[in-house]
Amino acid sequence: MTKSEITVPATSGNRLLRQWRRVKKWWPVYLMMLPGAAYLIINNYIPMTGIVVAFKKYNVQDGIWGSRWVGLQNFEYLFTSKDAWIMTRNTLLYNLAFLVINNVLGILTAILITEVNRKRFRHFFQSMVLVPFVLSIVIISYIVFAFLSADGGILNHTILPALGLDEVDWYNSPRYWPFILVIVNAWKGVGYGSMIYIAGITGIDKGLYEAAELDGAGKIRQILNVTLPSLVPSIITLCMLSIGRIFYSDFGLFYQVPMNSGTLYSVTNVIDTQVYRMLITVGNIGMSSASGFYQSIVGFILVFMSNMLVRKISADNALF
Amino acid sequence: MIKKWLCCALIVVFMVALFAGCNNSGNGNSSKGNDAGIDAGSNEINFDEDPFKITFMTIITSDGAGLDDVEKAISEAALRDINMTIDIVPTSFGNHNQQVQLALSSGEPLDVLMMFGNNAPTYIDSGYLIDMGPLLDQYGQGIIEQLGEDVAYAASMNNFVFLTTGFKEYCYPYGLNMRADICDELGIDPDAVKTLDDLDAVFATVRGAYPNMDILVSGLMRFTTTDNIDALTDNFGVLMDPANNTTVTNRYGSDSYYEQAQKIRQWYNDGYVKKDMAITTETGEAIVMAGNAFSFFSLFKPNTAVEKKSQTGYDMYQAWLGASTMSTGTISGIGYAIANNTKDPVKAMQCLNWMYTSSEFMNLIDWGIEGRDYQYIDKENNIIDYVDGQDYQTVAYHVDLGWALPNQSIAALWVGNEPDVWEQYRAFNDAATRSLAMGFTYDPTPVINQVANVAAVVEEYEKPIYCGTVDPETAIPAFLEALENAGINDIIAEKQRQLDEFLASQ
Repeated sequence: MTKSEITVPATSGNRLLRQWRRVKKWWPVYLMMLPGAAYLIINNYIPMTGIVVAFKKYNVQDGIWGSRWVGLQNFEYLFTSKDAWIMTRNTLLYNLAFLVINNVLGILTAILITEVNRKRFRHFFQSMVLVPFVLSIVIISYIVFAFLSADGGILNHTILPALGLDEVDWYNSPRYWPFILVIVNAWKGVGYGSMIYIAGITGIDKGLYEAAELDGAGKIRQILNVTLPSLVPSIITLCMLSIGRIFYSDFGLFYQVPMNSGTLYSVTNVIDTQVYRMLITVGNIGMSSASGFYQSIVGFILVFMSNMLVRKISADNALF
Repeated sequence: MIKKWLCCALIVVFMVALFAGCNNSGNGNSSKGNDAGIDAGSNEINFDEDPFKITFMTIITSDGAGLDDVEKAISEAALRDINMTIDIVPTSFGNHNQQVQLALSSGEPLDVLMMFGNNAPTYIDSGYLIDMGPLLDQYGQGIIEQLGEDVAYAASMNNFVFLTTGFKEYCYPYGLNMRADICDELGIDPDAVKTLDDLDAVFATVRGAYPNMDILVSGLMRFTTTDNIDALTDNFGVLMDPANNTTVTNRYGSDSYYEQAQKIRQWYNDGYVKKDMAITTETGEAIVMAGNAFSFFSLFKPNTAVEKKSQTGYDMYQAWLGASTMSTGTISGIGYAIANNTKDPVKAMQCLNWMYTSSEFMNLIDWGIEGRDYQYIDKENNIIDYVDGQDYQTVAYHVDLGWALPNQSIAALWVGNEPDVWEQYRAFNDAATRSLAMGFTYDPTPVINQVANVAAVVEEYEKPIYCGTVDPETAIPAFLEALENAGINDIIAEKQRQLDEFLASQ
């Protein structure tokens, strides 16, 4: 038995001893971890206590801890307005649509890209597909404006007349916008989403494909039976992360792209934009914190619940 | 062995670097200790004691090193006149509110600050400010003389004077700016345009001559103080006839609102208004500058022509359409306040008084150093211009925010303005009617939920209506119904109650 190998019976008292011995042995490593851990605790965990602001009437002189408790008063405005139900409905439906469509398109794009044999072309397509993601949403909203504008837009003035159809007043017609927003969001986000799937696919053992080909499987069969099942862990992880943010929305997408047109609010108003509109003049810190609390608590509960569900179905794929 | 020690040394270096970033800033308890009564001492400056340091936080739109020399010069002048040195903390329009919040809540030294009137309820509630009322009585004679007594005290809430406004126009009539060259070409006389109906003929004429031009590139009723209305801070419940009547009503349900909505809708249908007006974020000035546009509505003041010429590049004629009333809202938009952090409120007020009465200070802070940033081209009429060879891109310091600074009327005039423009301003202000609710600012806290909901409703419905994109026949009733559901009647009742209380206490 050398000095560095200390085995002790695994009883709880000695567990502490083992931990301590481990720290003593590896203390430079623990020390290196300290700044990062300190940063994480200070920047991410300690501010969580500020969540109490949602239940207080915040007064800068008294600070967070000295301000008065007001119970659920800050939440009233979220639920009493007539639009409260609409904004929640819009947020949920859009996020579910984005979840499904972006993942399907992401997997499709990843499969197509990995099927390209010439390396140079493959890298080219990978980069091209990422370009919309790095564009600012304001620029994208003007690209959409160039298409849909009533005064000079390409659709109204070139494409629709060529097809023999009438002009459409896009920015005042709510019914087209769910489709427009889903398309714009997919165009912007697919490149980024497909990156994880590309990594997943390139990690699949080539031997599996050879075996499938030997068994007589065509391309489509191979994709269905080899690629997709191997991607299931990535899909589950990404889906669960999305579920955690199911009450959040991309503010730029829902505010900038419809150009803040009032007539479209019934289909473009989500929790983030509605709260912004309500509080930009009022500026009440307690009320805006209440909205953030609402969104994050719901996401938190949903992540836990979906993780429990996944653990029941296939324990390996659960997040925790 | 050496490797291990090197490892340790590196780790220590990292740790030190981590903690070096932590700044031990001042403690968070800001003093509430300035509640002590204002000492009714004499207004004499005591030159025997040490100079008092004033920290002055204000918006400076000029960046670069030019500010340091200006600050030094201002401090010298202040030392000579009032035995104080001034430390300027510059901010920008974008971050001014945040900087002020930070300074006031962390107890940093701050004496005089520029502030936006719409923050008044929050700042007063949080105890950030000092009531300037008693200080003005004793130490602010210069300010009262320059502004006039009713204007000097106008920015107050529950008898707490929270700021003093800068010298500028205090009411905002609106009208139409039209391209002068096109007007001359087609024989349109701007003075003959007195009402919105007169514009029908004007627009038709221009459309006939220029079929592809954008005739009107702005909406119509976005101006909150038009038609003699006292907006009572946020336009949710207004005084429609503020000089005579103190009943708070719903502006969006009034006949005049409906008529104006009809008018802009008619122009939309006639093709004079851009179809995308409701979603455009460009200003009328920017669109005219781009070239193919004729007119836009804006708020007017005595030297609007000069301002629009520099903003659009074209000469513009002004057709004055609507009168406007002076009210607390028009006066307290932006001004100067005294922070609770100050060590000596009396000295802070004396400094502010000096700023309002010292031409030297005003010229330094607005225009910079004479000879380096500007030169006199007409000393008798007090007119200045850039130094030869310089322009707005190369000059070291050039703020030109006269309307936001304490007293632009005692500073030099930029070239292009008429020499008597300040007299015009004073005449303009004196001729304006005053709202009966001057000095009243309502406190929205009892109806804050309704205010939030009404704000969202107004965001949704207002713009399409005032740009003519929707038919007012259906849109305005829907708008009014949504407002009622959001609780506008509660807001109106609360405003009326507070206003009656205020008037009774006068």
